[in-house]
Amino acid sequence: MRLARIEPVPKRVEFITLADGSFATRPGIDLERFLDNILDIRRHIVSGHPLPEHYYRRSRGRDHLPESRGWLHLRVGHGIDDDVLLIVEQTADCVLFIGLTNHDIFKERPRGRSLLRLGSRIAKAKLPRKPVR
Amino acid sequence: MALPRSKPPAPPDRNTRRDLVNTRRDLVPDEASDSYRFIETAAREGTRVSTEGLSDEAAMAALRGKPRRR
Repeated sequence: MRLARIEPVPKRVEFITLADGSFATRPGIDLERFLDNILDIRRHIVSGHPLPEHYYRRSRGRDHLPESRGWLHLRVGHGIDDDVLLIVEQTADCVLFIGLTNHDIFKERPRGRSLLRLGSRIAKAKLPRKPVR
Repeated sequence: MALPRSKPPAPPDRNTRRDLVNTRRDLVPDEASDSYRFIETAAREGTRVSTEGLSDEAAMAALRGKPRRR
């Protein structure tokens, strides 16, 4: 069974950048509007404090597709744009911010196709870790 | 259930590349193709960046990305 919450223990935070060095953000979404919330989420994770409930999905029931890949979607648009989501993956000691996207991922047929087809295992295997200087 | 510890990413081997090719073969454009391309691009081009030890300001700058050199 996958955890539906970020564990309230201190973890490091990593994120994925594209070739131009910017965070992976779906075209049409203005990253600047959501930076404060992204950093708020980061602060909670690094300090090990529970993430405020407003960042989690409202609906009850299982979130099959993200759970099946070990990914969570956080409502990073809280108070700004409820459609915008931060896709993350957590391990025992790290939370990886995958990208900023929106609920269109659930309109895909089959639903969540992009998440299913490109599992983080493959992505991880391809991605060298690069510290920020 | 305990979560696995993360491991440093390994370079792709032949099997991984084959998985990726097979994965892409199954993909066709759909109504959310923008979303697909975005995720795919992140997986293909992306680099994992650590924010360990960074201040909020430095983490914000890292998320924005470094300006390209001309």
